[in-house]
Amino acid sequence: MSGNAANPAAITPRARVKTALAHRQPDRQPVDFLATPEIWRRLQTHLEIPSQPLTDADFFDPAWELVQRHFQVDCRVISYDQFCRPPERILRPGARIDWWNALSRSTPNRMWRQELPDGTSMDIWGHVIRIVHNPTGAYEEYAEWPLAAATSVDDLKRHPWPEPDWWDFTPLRTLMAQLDAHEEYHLRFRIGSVFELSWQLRGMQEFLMDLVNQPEIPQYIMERLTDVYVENTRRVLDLASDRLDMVYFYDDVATQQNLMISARMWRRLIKPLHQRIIDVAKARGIPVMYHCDGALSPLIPELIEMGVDVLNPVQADAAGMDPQRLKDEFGDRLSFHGGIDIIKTLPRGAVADVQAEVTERIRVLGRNGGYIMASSHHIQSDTPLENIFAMYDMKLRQLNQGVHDE
Amino acid sequence: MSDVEVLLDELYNAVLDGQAPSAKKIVGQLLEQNVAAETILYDGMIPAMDEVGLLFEIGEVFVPEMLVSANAMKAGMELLQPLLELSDVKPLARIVLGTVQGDIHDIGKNLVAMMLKGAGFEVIDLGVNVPPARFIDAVEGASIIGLSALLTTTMPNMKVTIDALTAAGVRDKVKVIVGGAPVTEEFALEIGADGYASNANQAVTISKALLHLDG
Repeated sequence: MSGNAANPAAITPRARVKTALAHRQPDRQPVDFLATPEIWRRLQTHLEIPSQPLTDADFFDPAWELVQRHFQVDCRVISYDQFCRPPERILRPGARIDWWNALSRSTPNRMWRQELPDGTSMDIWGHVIRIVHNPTGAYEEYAEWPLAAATSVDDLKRHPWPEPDWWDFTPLRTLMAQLDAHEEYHLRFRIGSVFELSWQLRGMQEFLMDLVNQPEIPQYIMERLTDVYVENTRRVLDLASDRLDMVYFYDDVATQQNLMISARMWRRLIKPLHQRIIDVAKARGIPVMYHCDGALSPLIPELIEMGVDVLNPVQADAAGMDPQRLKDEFGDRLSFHGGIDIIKTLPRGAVADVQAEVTERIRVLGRNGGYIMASSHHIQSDTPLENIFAMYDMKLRQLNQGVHDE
Repeated sequence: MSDVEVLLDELYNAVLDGQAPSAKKIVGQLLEQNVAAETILYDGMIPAMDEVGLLFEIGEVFVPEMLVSANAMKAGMELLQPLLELSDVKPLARIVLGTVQGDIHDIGKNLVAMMLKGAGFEVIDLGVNVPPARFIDAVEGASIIGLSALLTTTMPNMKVTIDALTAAGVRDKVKVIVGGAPVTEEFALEIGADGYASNANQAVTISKALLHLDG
């Protein structure tokens, strides 16, 4: 039975998040959840949620959805890579389509790739991915960088670039209805990265050197990707701007200490492309969330000007990313998503450390709303489950009850 | 300035600006003028890489500029390396690098390797997913072992590697430095490393300091 049916007066998760993002104190702290597949599976086992056979007709794993419901997670993500439907011609001989085995899956959502007869996989962009097993577990590595050999823009043009028609969003409303049937969640549409995926197609070292020596190469790659993202987002919002609450995109341009590239270079080559994605959402009045790991504080004022409403993930240990400072300086114009440290606190802290950090973040970042509590990246596989239960303890979500500045 | 000084100056600027083809060309011109390989390296290219490191440290240049400079130096070294070996010029010291077992990330490590080479070290890069035994095998002749990890789940293998060096009785033959996004100074101390670097330039600084080569 749905929570709303049981208590019609109760605030929905969607309303809770929207209140927080309007910089007002919601009834309780809204939360989100991201984890590696190992954590999802361990939680599923621990919570005794049975697995269901997944088919090509499923858009998300219902067992993992039940994990989110257990933690009363307020947000749901609908991702563009759930809707891939590339033409048959891009399938290599003997390939079979897989939706569920990607190790990079961090949500219940499916992700398209083709599994090749030699055991490798290929994503829609043309990366060949190899799963490698070693005594400490399994990981994926890129076995081929499809654009590594290009020496000119003409070479780049010969790549089988995905077209917007390689995504079919027709099932979008059905998928949203499936989620809404239980409870009205805050729904965001996730689209890809510009800089990050581009260097992953070219090879990072080569790509970074290109930025200095032959910027037309990175520029062409990044524009091709942006064209797809912009058109996909436009199509999705045509179908569902009345129900989607946010557009989300990600692009790591920082390290732990500083920006990865100069602000000058970012302004020249990356900012205009990010702006194009933001503008599609803003034209429909849809808020935008942006993810960038690390120390990106020099860019925050410009990101706000560009139209970013929510910043993820707030890595408190990165240079210049102290939560109190961020809240004081930008908290009236910018909301935050994330904040709970996955490097130290969650995997290696005691339950009391987790409680203390969650408390601190909610008190600082969640004051007068403006915060969605979540981990600072996917919760990693070596995290004790008790720490995850401590992080999502309902008591902590009530911390700011009755705390008002006015 | 003499012709040679002018050329050395141009070489310095070519490396600083990351102009690989001109760096190589100038090195060739200097060799034609019978300038010793050692002079070209220590008076032309290494000072330029030192400057790049300094500019990186103060936020004047970023990773892309650092990479193209290292690449320009590499282009010049293609001509110098055989001559340095012939004239028996020794590198500052040998540093063995690798990403620890279970971790396949190599971007940070590669950058560290380039900057260490740029500073005049010999670098043996063991690659990624390196088991402790391979580090132990590489200790002979090395002054420093550098361990890299990007994942919180593989960081503990830095300690496993250091412990394995101790168990093999070779820990006191080398200094161990560690780095990678989730690694902190505190963690480095905790696992018994000798040094920690938060970026490629600091890897150079800490290596020189540990071997008393600084200043």
